[in-house]
Amino acid sequence: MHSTPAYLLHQQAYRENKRLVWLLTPQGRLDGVVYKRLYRPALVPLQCEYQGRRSLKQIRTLEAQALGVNLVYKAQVCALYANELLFRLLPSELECHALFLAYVNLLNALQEAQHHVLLCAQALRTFESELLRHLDQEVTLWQLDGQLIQSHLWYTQVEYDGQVAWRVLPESQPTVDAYLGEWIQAVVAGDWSQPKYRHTAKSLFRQRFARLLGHRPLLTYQLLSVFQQAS
Amino acid sequence: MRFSPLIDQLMQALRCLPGVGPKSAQRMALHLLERDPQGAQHLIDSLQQALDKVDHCQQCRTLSETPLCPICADPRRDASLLCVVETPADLWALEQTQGYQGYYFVLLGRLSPLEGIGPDDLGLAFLLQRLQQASIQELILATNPTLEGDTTAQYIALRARNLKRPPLKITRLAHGVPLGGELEYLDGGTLVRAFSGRQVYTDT
Ligand SMILES: [Zn+2]
Repeated sequence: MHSTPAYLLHQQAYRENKRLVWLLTPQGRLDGVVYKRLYRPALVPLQCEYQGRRSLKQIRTLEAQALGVNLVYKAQVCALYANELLFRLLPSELECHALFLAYVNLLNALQEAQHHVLLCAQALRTFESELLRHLDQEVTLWQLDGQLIQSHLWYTQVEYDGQVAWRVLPESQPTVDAYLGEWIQAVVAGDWSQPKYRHTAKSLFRQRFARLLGHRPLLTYQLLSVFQQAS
Repeated sequence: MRFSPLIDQLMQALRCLPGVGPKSAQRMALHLLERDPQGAQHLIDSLQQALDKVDHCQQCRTLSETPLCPICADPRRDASLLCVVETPADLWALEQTQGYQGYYFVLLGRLSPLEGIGPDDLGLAFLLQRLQQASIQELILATNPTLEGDTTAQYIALRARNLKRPPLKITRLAHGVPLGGELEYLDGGTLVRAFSGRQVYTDT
């Protein structure tokens, strides 16, 4: 019998009186685990006891440990966005202690600061950064030639052998997808204090998620554009 | 193989029903063939007729064998009320209470990014168009109190508020203590919602 903290990502009916649930745990995402037909809310910290291996897992208990968050409008879609990313991109059952913590912190930040756009954005960037690190797709400071970037030069991204690296631009021609070395360094350090840093992080993270998501973009992007006005 | 190909095929077909596993499918198939061939024929006829004739109501999208379902076709209902539900089953549940006299709109789902269901899949453009009718004064959002149901309700409320039309009252079903329930056995989330949604005590 295993016991672990968990958050519910998704659930669907299964047989007459059962549900299949998808859970985020520090041990990774548990997919399609059989549970009785008892409704458990999302965004609530749960304690899960399960038994079995691989595809034959069965949950014995799944109990709420606290009240969880009660979000509205944009904050709620941000939580849904995090769930969609985790559901689509996280490999099943790959240990993710730091990512689990980033998810908990994100939900808490969304609850405490749901009408504070800046704090929500910062919590989201931290979560995205941790997820990318977990997927080996984090933004780095490396140029194609193995040199570190410098804060005063402009760079653009280039893809080489499945990896993304930086290529320095002649100072005279900054383009739309050009980033100043200082902004990239801030993103790698998780510094979201300046608008330029946040903007760079948002743009770089989006590009990386887009590469990973392929031709099917996130549905929560569509929702976010409508909820933007109500934040 | 234990059964002949046709019996096997029947058992496989029965498994498309929710909650029917291999054992139940076997019991059902043998029952129909051995004990109730007349019932089986009736089942075939009913299924075929329903498949041929049942479609979605042109106005509320619930299942109906006429272009307008009996509710939408009933002029005695209250045209100032429109209630949005997720499924035809939710509509029938509300109808059984006999406590609501307005009209409905059935989403046939809810916003669920994880299942790939977005705004375009729920006929929301059709709902917003219907909300242009000046006769509608209250929009009741009766989606389920789940993360997806709540998001759907909030999304519809936002879009409805932006419509150019006379003021629209937008309401959400109350969440709280079930009748006959005992506080000590309720989960914390329900209790918190019930507490924040408490109402002024009246002597009626
Ligand atoms: Zn109808």
